[in-house]
Amino acid sequence: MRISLNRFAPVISSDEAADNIFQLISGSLSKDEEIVLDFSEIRIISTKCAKRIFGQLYGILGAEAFFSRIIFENASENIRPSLNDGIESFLSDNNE
Amino acid sequence: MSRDIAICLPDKVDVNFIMTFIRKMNAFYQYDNAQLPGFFLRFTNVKRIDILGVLLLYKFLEYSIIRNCFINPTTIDIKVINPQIKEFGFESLIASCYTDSKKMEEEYGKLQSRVTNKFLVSPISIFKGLVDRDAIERKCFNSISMFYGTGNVSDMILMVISELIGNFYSHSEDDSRSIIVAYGTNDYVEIACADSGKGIIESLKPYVDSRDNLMIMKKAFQKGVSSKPGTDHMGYGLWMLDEAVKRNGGRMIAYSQDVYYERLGTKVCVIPTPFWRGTVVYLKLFTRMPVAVKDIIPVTSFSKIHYR
Repeated sequence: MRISLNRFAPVISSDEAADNIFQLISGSLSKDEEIVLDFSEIRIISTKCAKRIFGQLYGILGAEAFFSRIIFENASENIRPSLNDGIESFLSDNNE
Repeated sequence: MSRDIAICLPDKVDVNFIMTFIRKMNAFYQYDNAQLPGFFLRFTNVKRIDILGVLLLYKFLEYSIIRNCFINPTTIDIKVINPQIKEFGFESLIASCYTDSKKMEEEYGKLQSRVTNKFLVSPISIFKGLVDRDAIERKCFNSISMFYGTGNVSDMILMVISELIGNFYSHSEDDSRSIIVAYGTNDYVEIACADSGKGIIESLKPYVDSRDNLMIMKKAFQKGVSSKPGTDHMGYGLWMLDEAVKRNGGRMIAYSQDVYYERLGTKVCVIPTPFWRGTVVYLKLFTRMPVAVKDIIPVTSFSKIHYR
C-alpha cells in the first residue's frame, strides 16, 4: 500500500493535518503489508506532528511491525530529523 | 470637567526603539473601561515605522477599543506615516480602530498578503474562531513560495513561520487576537507576531522551577521546555526559532509581560522592560545564510526507521 502525503504539502504542522494523516494510515493497517508513505512534496514536518502521527501508529503496531511495515519514502534531509525526534520522544515518554 | 489626554509618538517607531514606544503606549493599560473623552494620539514627530511598530500600534489601538478606554479617540497627523502603514497592509485595519469595533472585526478578518517583484507583505490574522490553522498557514506559505520559490531560503521561512503560527495559535484565546506579519525582500525577511493573550511567562510559570520572570523567559528558549508537558508538544518551538536566528546571524526579540529577550547572532540579552500584555516575537533573518531543520536538530543515531 502506497500513501501519498502530497495533499498536505508543503508543511505538516497542525493537529488536524496530523490526525487526517493518522486516519489515512490506520485505515490501511488491516492488510498485513508494507505501508509506503510518500513525502515527496512535504518540505517541513513539525516534531509535534511526527510524534502525534507516528507515536499513535507505533502504539497500535508495536515496535517490530512499526519498523518493518512503515516505510518513509522521499523524506528529505529536512524531514528526517523531525521524524526521528518525534518518534524518539514518543518512545521515551512511554519508556520503550 | 474632562481634559484632553494626548500621547505623542516618538520619531522612530521601529524595532530599535520599541521599548520607548511601549513605555509611551502602555499608559493605555490604566484606562480599562474608563471611557474617557478627549483622547488623541499624535503622529506629528513620527519619521519611521516598521512592521513591528505598525503591528504594536494596531495592538494598542485594538486594546483601547476592546477595553473601552476612550470615547471617540482621534489621531493627529497620522497621514505622515500612512504610506508606511499602507505598505505593510495595515491601512484599513488601523483606520477601522477609529470607527467602531464591528468594523475593526471585519478588517481584522480581511488582512491580505501581497507580493510584488521587490517584496512580500503577508499580514495574517491568527484566531481560532475565524479559521483553522491549515488555512492560515496556506495563506502565508503561498505568498512566501511565490516570492522566494522553493529553495533553502523559502524552507527556512516556512519553518520559522510554521513554528511561530503554531506557538501563537495554540495559545490563541478569544481575546488574544494574534496577527503575524512578514515583510521580505531579496536580502532579508522580517517576521513579527503579537497577541494580547496570556503570554510566554504566565503560560510557562507553573511548569518551571523559578518564580523569576527573567529566568522563566530564558528557560522558554531552551530545548524541551514546554507549557504543555505530557502532550505531543515537545518544547521545540521557541528553541528552534532561537537556533535559526543564532546560526543565521539574524535578530530576534521577544516580549512577554515585563521581560525583553533579544538575540543578535550569537549574543543574548534578557532585561526588564515596560509592561506588554501578551506576547510579541520579532525575527529578522538574512537570505544569504539559510538555515534548515537539519542544521538545528542533529541527526541522531536512531536508525530503526525505514527510509527509502
